[in-house]
Amino acid sequence: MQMKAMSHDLDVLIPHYRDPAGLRSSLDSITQQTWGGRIRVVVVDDGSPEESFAEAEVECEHFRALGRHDLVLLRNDRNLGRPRTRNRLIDAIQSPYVAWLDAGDIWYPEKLTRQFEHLANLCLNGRDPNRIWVTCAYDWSQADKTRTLTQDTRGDQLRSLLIGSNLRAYLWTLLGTAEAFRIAGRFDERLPRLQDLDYFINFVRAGGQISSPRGREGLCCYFKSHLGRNAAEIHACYKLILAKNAPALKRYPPSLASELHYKAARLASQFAKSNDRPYAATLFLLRGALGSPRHTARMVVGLARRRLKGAPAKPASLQQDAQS
Amino acid sequence: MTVPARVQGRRILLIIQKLAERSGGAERVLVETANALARRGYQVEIVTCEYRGRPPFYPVVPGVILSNLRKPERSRWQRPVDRARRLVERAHDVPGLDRLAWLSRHGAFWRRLGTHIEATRPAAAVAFMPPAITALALARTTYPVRRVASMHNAPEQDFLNPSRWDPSRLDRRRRLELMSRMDRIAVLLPEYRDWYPPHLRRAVAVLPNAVTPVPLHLRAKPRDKVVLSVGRLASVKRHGLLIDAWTRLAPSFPDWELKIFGDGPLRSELQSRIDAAGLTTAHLMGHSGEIAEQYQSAAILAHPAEFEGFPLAVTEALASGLPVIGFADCSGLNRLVRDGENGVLLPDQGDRLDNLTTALGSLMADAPRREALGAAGPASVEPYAPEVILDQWEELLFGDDLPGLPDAGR
Repeated sequence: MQMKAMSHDLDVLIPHYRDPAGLRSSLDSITQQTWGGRIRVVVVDDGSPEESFAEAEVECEHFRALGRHDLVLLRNDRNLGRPRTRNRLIDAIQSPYVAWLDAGDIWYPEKLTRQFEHLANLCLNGRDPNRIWVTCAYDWSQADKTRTLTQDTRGDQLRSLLIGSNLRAYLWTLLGTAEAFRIAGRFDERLPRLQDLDYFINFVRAGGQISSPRGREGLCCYFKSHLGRNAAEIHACYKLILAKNAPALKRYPPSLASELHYKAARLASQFAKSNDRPYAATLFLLRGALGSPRHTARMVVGLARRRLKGAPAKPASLQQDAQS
Repeated sequence: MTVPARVQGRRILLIIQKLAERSGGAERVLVETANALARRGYQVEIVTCEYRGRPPFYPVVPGVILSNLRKPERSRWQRPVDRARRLVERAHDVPGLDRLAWLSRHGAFWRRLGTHIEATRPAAAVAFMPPAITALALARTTYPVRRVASMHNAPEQDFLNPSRWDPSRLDRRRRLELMSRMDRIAVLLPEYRDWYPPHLRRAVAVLPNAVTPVPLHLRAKPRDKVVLSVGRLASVKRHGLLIDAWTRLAPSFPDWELKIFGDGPLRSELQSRIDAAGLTTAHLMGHSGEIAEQYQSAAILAHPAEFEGFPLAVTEALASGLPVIGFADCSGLNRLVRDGENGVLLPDQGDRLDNLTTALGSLMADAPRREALGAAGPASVEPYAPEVILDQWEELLFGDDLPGLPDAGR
């Protein structure tokens, strides 16, 4: 179904694959938004099996029947993967503003209102809205535990994104103008995982800036799972992102590159461990240690110091998720 | 010409060895092309390989990524290594050492470029000027990236002049040999295509620089009594000749000024020449970010250069309704300026100084003639409108047919 071009204020882009119940949660959270603008939801189903697609169609129809917003449901002929599906969503953009949401994740009712207010304030302060993505704090729900994480957009955003501790590349937190999303280009179809991170890095390297409204309360919720994710694939994707951005990394001290290569191995190790592959997890850690001896030495020294002082071990920082 | 929608969003690499704070014509064309392609929805990355970690002189728009394949500064341990390499590079024509010198000069660029192309997988890569073209030709890739060479000079200057680019004989020979690895060779003028040997001519396409039209209301009337000259202060631009001509003309035209914009290695020498002649109406103005305003208000552009590729100063002057005066044997300029229509072409026979002085003085004294010549300028550069040229770029990068090749034996 095609909508008339530019008849809406905001396009909400949702990729879907075999998760009609998750899609329903996401669509419900859009319905509950307090922001009063005209929304067009675009769902691209990535070749789900017939039964799952039929259920997704029912959920979409239910959303349309509420009559608050429009919805376009598109379908890939076969499963093409998340990056190609997201590129198809980019091609479907018609409205002046764009937000992303993944089937299964939800927005809290105030999300769009707060983000549009923040964007308006930035414009009033003379900032160019076509160079800004507005992110937000979010709740992280994993194994029945939820915690709120803020996005620290101060300082060098490229470095922050690469380290991934204070500023994380989550597409479903974002709101921006269609022009601002053009800056980031398209999703790299060679990245079945971590394509969010690559997309964010492109945006920042191409002159974009990420901003976040003040406040520590989460405006959306991500339901996290490590299960079923291929650790080797995640490792390869991370390495590719580092290779693509090698020229940008050259302007930092070599210790950063060492840390990031270690991180790639450690992230893969985490996923292998979550998927009951302790042998693979150990191998990845070993790879990280051997490949980045400098950073490993720093980690070991830091850990030893903390132990000697009797301080508790530093909690593992929340790593850049490979949810994409 | 239409390019299929699917090519929008493709990644394009524009490669040049040095861009930091460089204000040359090729650098400007590169940045303007990058900006225009980004606005059309392509993912554009500018790749350099230089030690200066400074931004480009010409600003890039959001959406264009800048990548320098070298570290912004030499590290401590690199300095002695570089000194040793420079010694080797001096022996560029010594048999046995010439290959080592060539490798020392070019090896890092093409090796790093190959790695970067493999990592980023652009659909097309465009190299600007010989050092980058050599690197692109040699960059190893495992997939068929379209390789385009963008030439910005008359071919004999790029391939035969020993004082330009790498001075080694080996490089001059390889420069031309490596052109056969290019899928497309973009040259600025049709006559440049004829210079290439037949086996390369097939890949050559004529792609002039874009010229932005100047709206009628911006063309000042009446114009100031200013003779303008714009270009790098280098011997090839013959600013010295212009100053000598001005020395002769100044007493007869006390209310006229000569303004020379640009910077370069001859700045102090030219300033000394002005001072020695006691000229109070000739000025070296340095770089200007508002050069367009000068074109719109001056009366004449004097461009006595020795040779050119496709001189941006001349095209911009013509677009602004400014008559141009230059030599008939100056490549590039002689294609754009038509004697008696939109400017004056000076004969290359006889004394150049006499010719320039006489013709410039005559034009300065004849306001109706200046106005008539200037009025014809904008129409003469209409074929180079940015949208037209950008369409040609798209076809060069993604089309199967070569533009400007009516019967080149394809």
